[in-house]
Amino acid sequence: MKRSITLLALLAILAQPFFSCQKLLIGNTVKNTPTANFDEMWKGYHQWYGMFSVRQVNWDSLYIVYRPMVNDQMSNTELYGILCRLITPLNDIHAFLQPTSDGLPRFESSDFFRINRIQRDFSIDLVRSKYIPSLVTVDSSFHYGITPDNIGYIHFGEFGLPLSFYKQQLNVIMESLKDTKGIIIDIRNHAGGDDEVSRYIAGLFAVEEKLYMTVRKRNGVDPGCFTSPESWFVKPSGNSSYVKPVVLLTTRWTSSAGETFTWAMNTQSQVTQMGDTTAGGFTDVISRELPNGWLYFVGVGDYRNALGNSEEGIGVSPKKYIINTREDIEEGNDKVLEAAMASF
Amino acid sequence: MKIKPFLILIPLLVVWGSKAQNNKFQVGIGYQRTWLLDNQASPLKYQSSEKTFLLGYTHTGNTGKFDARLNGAWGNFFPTGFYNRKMYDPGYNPDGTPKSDSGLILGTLYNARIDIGYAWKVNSGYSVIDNKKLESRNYAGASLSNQLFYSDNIVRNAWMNSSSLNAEFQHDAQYNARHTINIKISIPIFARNTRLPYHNSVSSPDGSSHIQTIFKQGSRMAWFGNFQSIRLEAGYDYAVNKMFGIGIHYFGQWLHYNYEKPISLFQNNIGITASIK
Repeated sequence: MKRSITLLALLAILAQPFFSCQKLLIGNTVKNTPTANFDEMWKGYHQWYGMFSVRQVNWDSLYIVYRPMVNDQMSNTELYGILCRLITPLNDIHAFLQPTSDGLPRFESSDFFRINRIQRDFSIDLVRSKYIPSLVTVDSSFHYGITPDNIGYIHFGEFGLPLSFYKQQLNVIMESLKDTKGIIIDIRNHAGGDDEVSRYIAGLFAVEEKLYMTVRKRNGVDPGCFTSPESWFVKPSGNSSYVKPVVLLTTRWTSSAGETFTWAMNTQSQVTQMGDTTAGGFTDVISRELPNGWLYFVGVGDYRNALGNSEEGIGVSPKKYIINTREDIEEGNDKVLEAAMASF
Repeated sequence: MKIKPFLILIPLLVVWGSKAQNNKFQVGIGYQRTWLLDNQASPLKYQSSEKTFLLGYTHTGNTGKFDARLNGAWGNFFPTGFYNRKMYDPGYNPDGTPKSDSGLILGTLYNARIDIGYAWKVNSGYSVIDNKKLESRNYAGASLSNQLFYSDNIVRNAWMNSSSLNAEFQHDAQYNARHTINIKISIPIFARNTRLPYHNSVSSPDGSSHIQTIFKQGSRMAWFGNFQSIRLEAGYDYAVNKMFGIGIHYFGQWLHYNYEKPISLFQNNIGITASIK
């Protein structure tokens, strides 16, 4: 028994170095200094951002301008100011800084999102109270119903839930809307999500396979290094295709997967996009970290429409332009929805 | 006829039928620490504190031993020094003022490993100490293993699957038929490693699931030159009686892989086991 105890003790002693040598085995990490944080964020965009060329941003020149302003004696608030100025020229809904200390707010590089903050030209509560009292809430960002004039209505605020969820719900919803004279698909406050959900839902309205976008993503540290382009096609999905007239409602707040959905829907001849131009931010986005623990978000792709053109920073323009003002909504009038309903 | 289950069945049948067999079933629980630096996702070193479990089967025969093992672990996963990082609400109140609430940025690391191997006895020794027998045996062999790492962190670090063919060296020492010490080193020779692609995102134009897409887009063959995963196991077992035993075991692993950007991982696990023969 003494030998057993001796052996156990020996085992414990031998194991000790393994617990304490993780620093040696893991390797060096970047120091948490203002200069290192700046360099890490600049490098993160340099190595992963996919749109310097389409947005015509000279990222190297921004390093030359802003790096001299950073020193290791500056405060977090001062560093935050410089980092915000660094990414402002990107003007990209997918490029933003999210501090995790000092109570500093998220900084959006998108001029539109930063200035407007809250969407005032759409209200799902108004849709329910005035236009579709029978509106069914599937999820806080997913509603459907039928207007008194037998027009179907589906609202998507995002595509962030699993594809299987949308498949299951839409099997039932499309069956309930099959006898309507048309459908309004409302994505005026769409915050994005999964492009594969976009493709599936657009396929519910497709009768044939059509190319709607090509995608390439960053594939190396050189800003010109991308994957080979992938072609995305919309094709018929679900139990049957809905081929009666469809009006797709968009605004400047329709973004990301909502915009790839708009591309896919616009391939179908029975679809009319109405409202305002979309946000102009299509790509997949990743989050990365700084040595101080802050998060920053980077769009990694170069997404093109079916013609091979980038609409980053531009958005998808509607066939019929109409917008609500803040006062319209506050006074209980959704003129965009009224125009959509009148178009059937 | 499916080939893979058949190939696994052959060694099981061989070892089960051999003479002087010693079959041991093992269960265990433990505690594990993992440190990880995944340069593809983050410059921050992460650490975890995990609960672990073990299910194992060992068959020891005259000429060698067969070993099958399943390990699982899960636990908090966060950047060293940033356990209580906050995500401030990025939204705005109806009057346009920023919201002031926040939540902790939490994450969990999950990992699982399955090993199946066979080692041949290369030599053995025998001595008597205090009128009690001390036997030692050395083994050399190979194993197939698959280990999976996944975290639900916002930066998607630690996503990796590794299927490897490993060389193994083992030493067993048994004193007085009650006390057994075993030490094992395992080193992969070849592997098929899967990580997220360079852009660290997942999407597929052909309708494949995310898991299918990751394996399709992110898998590479690897060898010792660009992939190192050295594992050390050491354990002590005490035979309470002929059928039942208890033990304490240590497992340590250092892993380093170069693609797409380097990932390094260091793990230590201490566990207690119960075995039935």
